[in-house]
Amino acid sequence: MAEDKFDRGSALTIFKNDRQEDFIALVISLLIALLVYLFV
Amino acid sequence: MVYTQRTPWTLIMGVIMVAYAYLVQSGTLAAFIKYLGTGRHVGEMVALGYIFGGIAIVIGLWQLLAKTAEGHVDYYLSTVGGVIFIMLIAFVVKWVLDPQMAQWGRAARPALGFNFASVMNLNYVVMGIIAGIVTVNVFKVPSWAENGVRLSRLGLKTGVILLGTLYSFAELQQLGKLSVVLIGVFVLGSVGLVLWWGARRNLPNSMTGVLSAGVGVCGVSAAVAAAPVVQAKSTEIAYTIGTILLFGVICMFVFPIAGKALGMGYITFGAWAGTGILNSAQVAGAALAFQPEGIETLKVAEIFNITRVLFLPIIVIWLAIWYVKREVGAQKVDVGQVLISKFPVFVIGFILLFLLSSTGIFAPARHYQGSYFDNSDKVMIKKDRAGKEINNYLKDADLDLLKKDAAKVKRDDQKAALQRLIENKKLMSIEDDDTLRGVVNAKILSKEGNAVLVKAHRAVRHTAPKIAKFRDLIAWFFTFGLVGLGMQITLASIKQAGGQPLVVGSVVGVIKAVGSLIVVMVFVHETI
Amino acid sequence: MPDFTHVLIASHGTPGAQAAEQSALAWCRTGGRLSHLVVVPDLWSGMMGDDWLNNASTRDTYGKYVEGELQREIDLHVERLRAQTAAAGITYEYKVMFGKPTACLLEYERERTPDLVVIGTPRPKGQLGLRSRMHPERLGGELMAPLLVIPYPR
Repeated sequence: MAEDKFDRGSALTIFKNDRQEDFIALVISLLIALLVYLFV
Repeated sequence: MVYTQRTPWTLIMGVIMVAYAYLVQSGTLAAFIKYLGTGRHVGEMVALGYIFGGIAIVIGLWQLLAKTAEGHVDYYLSTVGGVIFIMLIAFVVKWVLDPQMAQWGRAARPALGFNFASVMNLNYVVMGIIAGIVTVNVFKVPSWAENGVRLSRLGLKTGVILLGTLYSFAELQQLGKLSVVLIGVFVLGSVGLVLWWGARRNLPNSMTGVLSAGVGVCGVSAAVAAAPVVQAKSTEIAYTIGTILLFGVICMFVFPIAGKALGMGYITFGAWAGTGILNSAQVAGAALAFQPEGIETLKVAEIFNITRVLFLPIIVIWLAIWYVKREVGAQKVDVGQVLISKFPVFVIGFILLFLLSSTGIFAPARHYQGSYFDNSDKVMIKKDRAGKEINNYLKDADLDLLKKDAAKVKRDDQKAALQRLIENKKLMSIEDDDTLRGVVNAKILSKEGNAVLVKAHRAVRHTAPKIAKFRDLIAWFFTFGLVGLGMQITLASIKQAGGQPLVVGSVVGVIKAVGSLIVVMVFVHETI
Repeated sequence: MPDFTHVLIASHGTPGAQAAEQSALAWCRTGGRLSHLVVVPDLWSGMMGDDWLNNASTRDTYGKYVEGELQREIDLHVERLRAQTAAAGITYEYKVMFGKPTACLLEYERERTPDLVVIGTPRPKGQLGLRSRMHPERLGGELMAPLLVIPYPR
């Protein structure tokens, strides 16, 4: 299964690695910050 | 492989959410909302109901009807079902179960002699985690939801990063110092204690090593980081993680109950939970359980969590050196490589958002740097839109209520703060405000007296709307994350708690919890 | 001693399971076949780190380590049994399955169709070990072959 390109992540996260998860979390946060900045 | 499952459930949940939002919006559910007293959540119910319901309907239809092929689209969209599943649980818990439980608590009070909902902290955070635990252990997480449940860590990390917007420099500096001292003493202390005791009891080095990391730093994370370093046997890992999970789940419920019974404030409780609870997710759970309607405790506790993460590499290196000294054939560690590989990148995100927020783009600089405190006449006496004057000083009737209740306050600092409030008809300092917030949270005064304190607090604390929005969002991210994490706590793994790790782990865990409680109560003040 | 040509043994190396292994060997005729089932209980999926603070490298290292450690322990166990069967002139085969012990055994039995299934009793109170066990009541109802439950050695 490991060689399957689209079988990845672990039991805990859907991301291949935590750097990616951290990075996505940062992107979401910045996006939310931007939305809050613009619309609230 | 194709991850999308043809299930109608995403669509059904979406329809339920949209229908609920519509019924709330149209006023059909007005009587129900009035009965539960959830009027202040109406805006949230409508907005979140439409947003998540809409997403679920679109994706649900697509999953049901479209031909799915292997790829990124399939992989990432397969998480939607689980996300909606968690959100639906969170909605039910926050908007129905939480207020209902509060009512039952009040109703049962004459019979039981105490309000069980309030004493046991049966608020939406605690019930959300319980809902997650019940879901996985009793019903099993449905297979179409599994991928989405794995996003709970992402939710928590996003919550922590966003939390960066809520701190001031002064706060971060002081909390940082406090956390480094407390964590330093208690983490290194408990790791040392386990290593010493393990050697005394002739436990295998591998077992002692993995256990010391587990009870010392951040629970399962640390055990996971240490296990390969000290070459732990499989049963040792199972005993240790089982013990930590068991201890952590108990702590998550016991800490808030104890904190309220002891009349702890936000900072003391946050510091205690951040030091004493083993697992970092459970620290967040306990902080929110202690104070579900505000975020001050969480702010303190998360700083402690971040400090713990930063301590983790130190412990791993310590254990590695310790183990190499004791066992022949143990692998030497590369210190630099450990430091880099263990560094949590999301902490950088937290700092980034903190810096962004310090520029004052989300709130006026005065609000932010001054911890939102202002009691000048400019804000105390305002004119509303119609030009009528609003005076935020306490009225004579309010003062009478406070004077009547004043005898109930026992602590000297709280007495003095209350006295100053009565004399000046307004809160005079941040310190007084924080002290009296503690009185409110511990419900020392009568209901009416509490209402007066809350009024006085609202008059001097000003929150910029953007910051308020961040708070709401952060609370939702943590709720999402904690419900999802609840779904990863299986009884099968908790049941493995046993053997020497159970004995040593619980004793050291209790020593750490009680020791940090004493230190926090004696040395930590309620103000930052 | 009655003898069977194809015996299935479920064991994971604890003292109770070793007693069951010895009985299985004794009940299996020379030239017969011993099918050995090793279950990795699914409780391990709850042991993969519930927390959210570790990096991928840490978790991967840990995951590989646990897998490797379980593999190493299973290898030792399998090798021991392989040597014993070889000495007794019995053909040996084994399978590692992940899941609930009872369900795995039922599945393996259906796959191998042995004449006899041997297991140890659940661990008596006070003995250390992982809490994951066979449910003989359920096995009795669903197995095709006769089931032999070996008491814990005292």
